[in-house]
Amino acid sequence: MSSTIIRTDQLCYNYTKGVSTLTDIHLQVNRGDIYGFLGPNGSGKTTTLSLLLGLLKTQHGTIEILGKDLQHHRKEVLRKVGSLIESPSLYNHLTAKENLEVYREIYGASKARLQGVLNIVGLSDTGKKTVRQFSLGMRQRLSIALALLPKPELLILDEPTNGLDPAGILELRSLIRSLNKEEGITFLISSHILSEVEKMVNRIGIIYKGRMRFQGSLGELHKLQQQQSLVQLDTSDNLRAWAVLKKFQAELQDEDLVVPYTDLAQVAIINRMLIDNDLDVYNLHPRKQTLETIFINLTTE
Amino acid sequence: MTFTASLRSEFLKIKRTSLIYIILVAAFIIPFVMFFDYGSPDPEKLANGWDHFYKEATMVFVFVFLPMFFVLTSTLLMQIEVKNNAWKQVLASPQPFFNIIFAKFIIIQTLAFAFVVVYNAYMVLSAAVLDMAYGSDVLAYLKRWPELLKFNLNAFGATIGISTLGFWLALRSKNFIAPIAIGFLLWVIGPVSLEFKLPHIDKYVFVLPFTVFAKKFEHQRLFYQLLSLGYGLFFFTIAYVEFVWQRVQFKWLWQRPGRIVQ
Ligand SMILES: Nc1ncnc2c1ncn2[C@@H]1O[C@H](COP(=O)(O)OP(=O)(O)OP(=O)(O)O)[C@@H](O)[C@H]1O
Ligand SMILES: [Mg+2]
Repeated sequence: MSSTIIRTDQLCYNYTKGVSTLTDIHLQVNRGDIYGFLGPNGSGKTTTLSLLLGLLKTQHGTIEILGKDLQHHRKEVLRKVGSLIESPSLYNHLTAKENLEVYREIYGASKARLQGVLNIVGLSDTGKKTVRQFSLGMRQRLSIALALLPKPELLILDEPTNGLDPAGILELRSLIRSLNKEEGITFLISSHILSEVEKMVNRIGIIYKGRMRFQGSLGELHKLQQQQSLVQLDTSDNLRAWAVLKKFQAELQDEDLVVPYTDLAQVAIINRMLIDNDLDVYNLHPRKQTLETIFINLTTE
Repeated sequence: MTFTASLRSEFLKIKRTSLIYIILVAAFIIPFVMFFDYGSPDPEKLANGWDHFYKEATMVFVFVFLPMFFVLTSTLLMQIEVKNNAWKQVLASPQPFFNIIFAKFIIIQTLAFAFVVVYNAYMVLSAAVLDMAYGSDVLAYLKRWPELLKFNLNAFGATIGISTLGFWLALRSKNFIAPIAIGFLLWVIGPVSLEFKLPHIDKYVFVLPFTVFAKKFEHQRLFYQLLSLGYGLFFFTIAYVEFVWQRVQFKWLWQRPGRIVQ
């Protein structure tokens, strides 16, 4: 069994000729991952996920899911994939149960499974209520139940927390974690808020304007965060201080001197070096990057 | 994952939709009008009119109502997916593209069949009431059932082309108005060109039902049935090919995409 669940290569897409929406997307999701696919509005998350499900025609590049080429094994692949793309796809005139019943035999799921997924999302007692009478959160839950129906190996969820209340978000998060741990389901979850997925994902891909800006483990993102932290300095002679701190890759920015650092001990060393060189330190301000600022840096020009 | 699963899925979707009521109401209109329009029975003819009651009414039914029914129900059926943003879920499920649209087509045909049956039931009923009122043989009309059956089968067969054309229009359109408007325009061409007696107009897909009634075309019944079937295959093939084309690069049917560089 291959350990790579999703692999795309040189995936490009444009809705209109000449305007490329996606450029060279190389996504890699491994078995057992909870992969957070992040990017601001309009960056191409939904487009990418739609391509993975064959909802859009692949124009360029290749998509391999569960070790199979999507174009040639569409049905085989889709049988093992649950999905929720953008807004819920539910029949408003049907009840929760009927909505799942529509897909039950297509996925070869049992009646018990149907009841099971309704229990999981807490919608087992909606009875004769049709989806039209559901709240936004209830619809979202039912969509998640629908995605779970096939007992998928892979779940592709596009902004699944849309419309959920804080308790619902926490619930979903723990549901995802437990499904990942207990049933070994691999997740690909898109979001535009890093902090929302930060606590559950182990791998992150960041997309901006249709290009991958980052892909790696959460640890690697943390490393990037440390690399990008800066200490801001003002001394009695910034030019001389810059010469002293050259080996730290110090840079003069306007009036100030900025020096990258990885931990605070390093800041102390920098300070001592300045003092040892008879420089007075007027201001020393370590600006620690957070994951959020890294994310914002990666997703702005 | 078989075709029956797709079919079952499609049948479940039409539950509680307006499609059922359309059948019950639309099928009622002609029998209702005929009932109140009926003069006194022709003393020349024993039972109440076959030619002047049933055939006259059914001509309108098959030439006007049935084609419009196909256009309208196809559109409504596709709108179930469009309105609910549900196409993406259907297409992300492991069903062959062919099964997805063929199941929908079977639904349309089943609804149309029900439409014809309900219409006939209403006609028989109003004929029976009239017969009773005028003291003629209530069963005389029904006794002609082999003719009735043959007639209806012919009429149904002659609309297969229209049904697939309407189906294709509805399938390819995201909105509600376009397929109905285009369908209606294409239909209007029929009676207008008949009026002008354009050559070969009898072979126009929307005119085919007319050939079932016109004495002139009686001897060519089989030809028109086959022509209708031909239209049916043609439009359904187009609908299918287009549906797949929008989602799959055809070159991959005979060519593997470039292997992934490891
Ligand atoms: N059907 C469409 N036709 C043309 N352009 C589209 C279409 N759908 C999306 N786009 C464009 O493609 C780009 C990417 O859109 P996409 O929906 O993939 O973004 P997203 O990352 O999912 O955004 P969001 O967080 O708002 O959901 C946007 O610039 C959008 O305008
Ligand atoms: Mg989106």
